[in-house]
Amino acid sequence: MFPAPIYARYIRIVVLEWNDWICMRAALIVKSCSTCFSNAVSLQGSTASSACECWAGAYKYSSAFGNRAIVLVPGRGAQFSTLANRNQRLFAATAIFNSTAGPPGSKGAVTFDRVFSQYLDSGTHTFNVATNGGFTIVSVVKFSVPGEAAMGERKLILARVPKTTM
Amino acid sequence: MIIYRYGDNQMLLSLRNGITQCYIFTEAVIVQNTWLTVMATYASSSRNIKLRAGNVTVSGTCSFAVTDRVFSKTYIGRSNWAGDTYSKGSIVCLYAVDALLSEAEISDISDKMYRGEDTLQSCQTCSRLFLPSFNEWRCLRCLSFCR
Repeated sequence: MFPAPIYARYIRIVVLEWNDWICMRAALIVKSCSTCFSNAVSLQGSTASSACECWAGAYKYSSAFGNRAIVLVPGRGAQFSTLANRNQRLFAATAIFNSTAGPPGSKGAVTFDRVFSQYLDSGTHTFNVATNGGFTIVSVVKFSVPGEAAMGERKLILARVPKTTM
Repeated sequence: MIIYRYGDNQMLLSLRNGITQCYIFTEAVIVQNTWLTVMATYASSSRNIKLRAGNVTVSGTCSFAVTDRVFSKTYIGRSNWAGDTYSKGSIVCLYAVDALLSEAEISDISDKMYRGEDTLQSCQTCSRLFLPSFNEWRCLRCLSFCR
């Protein structure tokens, strides 16, 4: 057995010796979807069989910086997520996910009611802004009440990340 | 890093470095009960900040550089100041990353938000750029659906 999988389109069996007449039985041991080709299109995704979560003919993809992003995933409830920690991320949430509250074609939205002091908190997260060239924040929001007259009051904080260490 | 509603119908992006603040704000862009796409970027090389809400884009340059930081809280719907009011509204998605994304990448993320798709990962159709038998051999074993 080869120490590592070898990717090939064809297998040629060359018979070197035989006794009386040429006869043989052969089979291949095929490694299942456990490792992507080093030069394949799935380089950034599905590197393990457990990561194969796409339909036939597809592969799982994430961007090169996806493992650094923190995301409120559409349709997954009032929960922050990272690529490395999809379901277990510690968070505090009093806001409510409503599957019908999003724009047409979406999978819902998280709603905030000021009366009940509802909010989300994703806990600790590292942003290497200087090292990685900057930051980007993208969001889709809707405000349900008029703003108050006083300028500078914070009606909706999309990302509040107070510094704790540098 | 703070993005919030400023006054009645403006959006504001603020970066803080101790007591020093760098901020920009848009003109009136918020329409009550109407979905609004908000995007904010900071480029460490130039210290440029940009805020886009709907079709309105504003930009500026910070006097200080934002450093690498570990943040203890990432809030949506409230601020870190006890006197601030909480929000009343909705949010479809938030994507925050310590990278300066291109317009195309931002647009792709925004489009996924409106379609309700996962912005961290997605299923992509296998390319035929490589030997077809190779891709089919591998991809046909990925039978479960994206989660």
